[in-house]
Amino acid sequence: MIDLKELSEMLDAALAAETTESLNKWFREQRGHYIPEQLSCPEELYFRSIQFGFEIENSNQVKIEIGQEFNTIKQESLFGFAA
Amino acid sequence: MRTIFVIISTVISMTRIGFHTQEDRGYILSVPCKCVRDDAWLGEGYYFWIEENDAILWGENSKAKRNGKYQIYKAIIVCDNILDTVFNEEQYLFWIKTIERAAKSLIKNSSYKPTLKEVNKFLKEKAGWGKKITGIMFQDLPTNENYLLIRPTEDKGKRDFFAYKKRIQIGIFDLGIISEFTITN
Repeated sequence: MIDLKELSEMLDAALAAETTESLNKWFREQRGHYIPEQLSCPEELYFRSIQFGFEIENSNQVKIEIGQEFNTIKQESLFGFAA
Repeated sequence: MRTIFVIISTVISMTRIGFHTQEDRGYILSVPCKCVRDDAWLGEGYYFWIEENDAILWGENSKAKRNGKYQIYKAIIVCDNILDTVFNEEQYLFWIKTIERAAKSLIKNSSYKPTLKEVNKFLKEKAGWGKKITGIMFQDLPTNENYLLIRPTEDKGKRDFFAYKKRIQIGIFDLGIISEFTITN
């Protein structure tokens, strides 16, 4: 017999346990774009990496494809902010 | 032992016959295949149609694309802990409310609008529903002309279908509720 009240409470507890940060991390894992926490990557950079197709190399550098070559460029020179 | 299980579960439990469609890989399956597609109605699980005809149509329209052949298996499914959103009004209303409550909260507290698969996965894994329910029964209302016997109305080139027929599936999370899994074609 299914206890709907219990299921509802389980959902409440799960939602209450999540923070914005943990949920965003979970979503990224589901979509195969997990970024290791140690990169401390700004959210905007993450979205732009998906949008423009560049790789995040470390906390202050990205790799971007120019012609046939990958070049390492500092983040702030791309978007005007530092990591 | 297996026969005893089937007899006992049939007598004391609510059971249904379900139909599982797969592409023909050239051998007979002993267990159903897990569906992990992103567009799976109820997330990852073992999917069974309630109507054999729906299993056949799914075989013809989807599973036979690779080599023109498909297989249909049937099984007895113990439905005591299946969330029934098709015939049980209370569970249907609960399901709608839950999906929307979960989706709203996930949108509000993250940067993402969840997909169907993600909502299901959140309920099953994060909220722990996978330990409490063994599957979900769900339906849609197809408007495929080949599926319906009532002719659509037409007005200025616009066709309106009377989608009178439910297409019902059970997404099963726990293989332990399935028995007598056998090929039918």
